[in-house]
Amino acid sequence: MGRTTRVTNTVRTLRFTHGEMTQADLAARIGVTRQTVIAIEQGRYSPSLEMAFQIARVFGVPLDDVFQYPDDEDA
Amino acid sequence: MTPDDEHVPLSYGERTAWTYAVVIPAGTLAYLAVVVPRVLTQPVAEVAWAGPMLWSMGLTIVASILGAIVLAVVVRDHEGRLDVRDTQIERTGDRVAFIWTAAGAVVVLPLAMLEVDWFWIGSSVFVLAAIGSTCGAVVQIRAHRGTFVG
Repeated sequence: MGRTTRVTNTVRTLRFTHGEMTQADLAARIGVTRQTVIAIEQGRYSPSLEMAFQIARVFGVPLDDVFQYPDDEDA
Repeated sequence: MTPDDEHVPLSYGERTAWTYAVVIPAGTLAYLAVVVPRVLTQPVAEVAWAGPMLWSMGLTIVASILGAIVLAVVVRDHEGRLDVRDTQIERTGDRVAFIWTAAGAVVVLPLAMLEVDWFWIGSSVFVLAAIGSTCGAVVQIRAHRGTFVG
């Protein structure tokens, strides 16, 4: 696709710091396929706000600990 | 749970898109392979095109089902549901397909007004819809394999 997402995330790091949770485990907990978790981790897919909150809830952290949106000067 | 380094199969949505991207153009080309020689050798009004078109549609549906089954076996994944990302990607592909289908309506109206043979009207709708569905499938494959913002 032509557009790319500027949203970055720490999902992969959070998985490892939360008992080395697998992609499949996270996928099952938020109700998506493993392919979608992989796409999120690789920055190839921006999840909906609701899914973002679900991911943050799985890790028990605030939303902006999981997803970041860089300022213009950082882009 | 599946370890991260284990084989990542194509998702159900991507498998479906790959199937459509192959069988729809194949079915359309098969239709054209049958009717174009007839158009070149006999008057258009006498060309039997409805039968080949129906056969093409039927065989495309059957091939889609068989393709989905074969791909599921080949990629070793039997997940048969779409998640939210798959659904968003599918809708994006459907929008592309719809544009071509709408173009088909725009093409067909003047053909009907000009009272051209039904062969041209039916074939125009059929081919443009097939192009649209194929483009939609390709858009879906690109979205599955690349970046999809939604």
